[in-house]
Amino acid sequence: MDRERYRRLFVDEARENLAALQNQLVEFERRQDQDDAGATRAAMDEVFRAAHSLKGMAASMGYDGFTKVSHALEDLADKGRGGARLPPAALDVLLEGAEVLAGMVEQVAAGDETLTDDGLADRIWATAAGIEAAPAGGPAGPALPTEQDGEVLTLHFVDDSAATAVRAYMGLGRVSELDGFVRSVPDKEALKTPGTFAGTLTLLFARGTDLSVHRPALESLDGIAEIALPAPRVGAAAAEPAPVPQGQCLEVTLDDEHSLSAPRAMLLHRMAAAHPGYVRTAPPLDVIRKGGLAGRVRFFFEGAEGIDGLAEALSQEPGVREVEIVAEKAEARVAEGRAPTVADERTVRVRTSLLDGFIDSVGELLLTKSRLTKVAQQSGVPDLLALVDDIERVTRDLHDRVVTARMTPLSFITDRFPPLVRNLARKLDRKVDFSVQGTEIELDRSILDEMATPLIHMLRNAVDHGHEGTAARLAAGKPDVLTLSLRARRDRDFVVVELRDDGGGIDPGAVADRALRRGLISAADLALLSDDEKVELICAPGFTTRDTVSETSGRGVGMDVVKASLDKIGGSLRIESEVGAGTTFTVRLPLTVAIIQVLVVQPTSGPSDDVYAIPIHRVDRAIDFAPGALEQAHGQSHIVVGGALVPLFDLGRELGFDAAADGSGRGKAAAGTAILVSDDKEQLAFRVGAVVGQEEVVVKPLGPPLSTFEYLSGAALLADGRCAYILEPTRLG
Amino acid sequence: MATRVLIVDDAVFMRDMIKDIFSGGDFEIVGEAVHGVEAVDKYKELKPDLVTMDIVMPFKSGIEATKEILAFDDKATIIMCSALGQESLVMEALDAGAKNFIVKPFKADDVLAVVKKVQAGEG
Repeated sequence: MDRERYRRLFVDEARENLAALQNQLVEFERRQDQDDAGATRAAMDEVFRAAHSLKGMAASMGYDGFTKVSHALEDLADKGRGGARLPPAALDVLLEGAEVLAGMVEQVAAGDETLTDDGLADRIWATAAGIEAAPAGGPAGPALPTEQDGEVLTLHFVDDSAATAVRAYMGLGRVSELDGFVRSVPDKEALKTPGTFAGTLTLLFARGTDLSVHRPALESLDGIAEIALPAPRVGAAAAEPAPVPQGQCLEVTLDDEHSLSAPRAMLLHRMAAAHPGYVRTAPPLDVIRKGGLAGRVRFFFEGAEGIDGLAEALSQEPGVREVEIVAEKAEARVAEGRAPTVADERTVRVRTSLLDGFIDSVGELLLTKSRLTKVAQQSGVPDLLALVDDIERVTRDLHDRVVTARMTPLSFITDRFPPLVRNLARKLDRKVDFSVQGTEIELDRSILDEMATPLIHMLRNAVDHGHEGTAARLAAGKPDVLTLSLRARRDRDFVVVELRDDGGGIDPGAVADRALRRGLISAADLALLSDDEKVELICAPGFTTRDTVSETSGRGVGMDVVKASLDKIGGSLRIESEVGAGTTFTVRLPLTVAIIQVLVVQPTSGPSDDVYAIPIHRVDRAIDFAPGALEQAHGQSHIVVGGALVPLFDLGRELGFDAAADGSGRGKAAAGTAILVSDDKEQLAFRVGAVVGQEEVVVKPLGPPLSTFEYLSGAALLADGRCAYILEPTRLG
Repeated sequence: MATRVLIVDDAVFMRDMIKDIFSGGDFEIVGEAVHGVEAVDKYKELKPDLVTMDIVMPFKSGIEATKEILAFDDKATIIMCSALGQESLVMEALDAGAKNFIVKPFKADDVLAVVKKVQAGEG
């Protein structure tokens, strides 16, 4: 098989499973705290399933360390699945296991396949062993005792449906008084649950207990059908009926551990039972079902007819090491033939870089199409124009499909958040109730990638700074648990992500003081700011530095970084905070980033063929204004729009080109065209020389040093072959 | 005629691996299902000759799916795909009428041997 392909598949799928596992663990913990049994069960089922899948994949790849840890996680999860309450220590070790596995996956992704578990699996298993078994009725039930635990004995009761459990219950009362008795499965409590008793009690006695002494007492119990030692051992053979003397016996030795010996024995039993002259199987089938098989199963027959053939057939079964009488083993043959075909629709995984390539190609296609349209229009050939229309339609369709292919649900990044918040809260010894909603909304992959870090920053801040600390919260009359929610919703071509906490809020005064001390703003400017605007100073570059991260007065581990990341992908951030009541960060993101509609404009001044692009989603409208429409206020020109004064700037001048006052560049003096733009906060108008047109362009990111200009969000190649910078206009004014 | 196979497993990894194994014989993969509910639906729709059935899956386990498929078609040939530690579940499936089982990690030869036996009506 193609190992490299499997390795990639393993990495992808293991990442998904680990994200699900970690998330559901946190969900489990939350629900367990709320005593919501149904939800805890569902969450732990999912943890179990993920661990189980991981184990299967890793075993197939031969990753022993990974397999072992995932197996241990599966076992521990199984405890929680049965309804047992998992203490925080168990959840810690589960999460630790998941983190270690995540590390291993990245190791594999980097090409290092030497994975070791460093004793972690044993620690997880030790934790699992310390957890009380689930109460009766859980799917797994307490584990059957084995020879490692001590002396084991099985009591089979006569099946007379109504009274079997009662008989067993009464019998157990007497058994529990016998010397050396440790426990039974099921125990007395479990026997009380109606309809659960399967007719067999497995008894554990202390190691070294002489069971033969107890035999008479056991035989005297009501309704006993058979007393059996699950494992036939020397000195215990009396527990098993003697072989049929004149018949034949096939003794089958099974491979230990590696092939599910009990179900294997069941299949072998099927084969033997179908053979003429079959009498019985030892140990009996129901004992095998209960785990009472010790590597060997015997089949008894009345005659010897065809026994050789059966022995050979049995010996060919997987998991069979040896069949007494017949030692010959045949090799399984490998069938050969044509490759399978897959009939139904299926999905494939595609590298992100390939998707990026698609979007580039589609972008160039759009460009070529635009040029072709111009040529066709100039030529005036009707057939050509019709063809161009067709190409336009197909291209648009292709574009839509490529964009769709790039869409990834927000959960792709938010799945990591609950474990992250939980770990941080535990580290700080604080309580946080974190909920996530609406993460099925899909965004362009590149936006998601860019979003992860800012969101994590904000979550950290909420737990670290938003949370007032347990004592302070209680003192303020609030619950000690901080409620933190991340909600996403669609708003036309945007996704709005709201991160809300009910923490201490941000004190505008404190932020203002700090900004002043750091020289980020002058006292005069500060005086003009509203409280909301003061709070937003936490996003100013230099408001926080690394050495102040641990300070508790301020809030904002790199909020400037958050803001910058959002700006880069055309997003915006709004902060609403009320001291003592909490803070809401509202992030607005475009759904797609790669291809956008822009308005192409020519500035009032500058090189004559320079044009600039303004994203349509920033443009409210273009206005031709008459000379009398301008008003002066605070030494600034304003344009009257719908009765409101909107500050008017000259685009050429703002871009640093010389221009005579009042736009005596290419625009007509005193009258002209203005583009009205806005973001969440403000509306501005820019006087332009001319509006060239509207176009669909592919955004190309800028590298340094141009990327440091915050009013430039990218560059685009226009249909006429010119290159235009894409402006973030509200950063200009 | 090629054996028409329905592969049921929630992991792409496992499904691909089983597909690769079947590429070495006269098989046609007619469908894949990623959980028990889909398995039952696809069985009814496709009527495959052979089903490989994972046990631990979301929505509906392989055990329940096996029982439902056999209730629909008692001639259904279902092979359970098991991991170590699932003895009781495999036994439950066998009791319900599953023909045989294979154990993860799969080895191509073992899987094909089991399939061959099941097809010969021996398992």
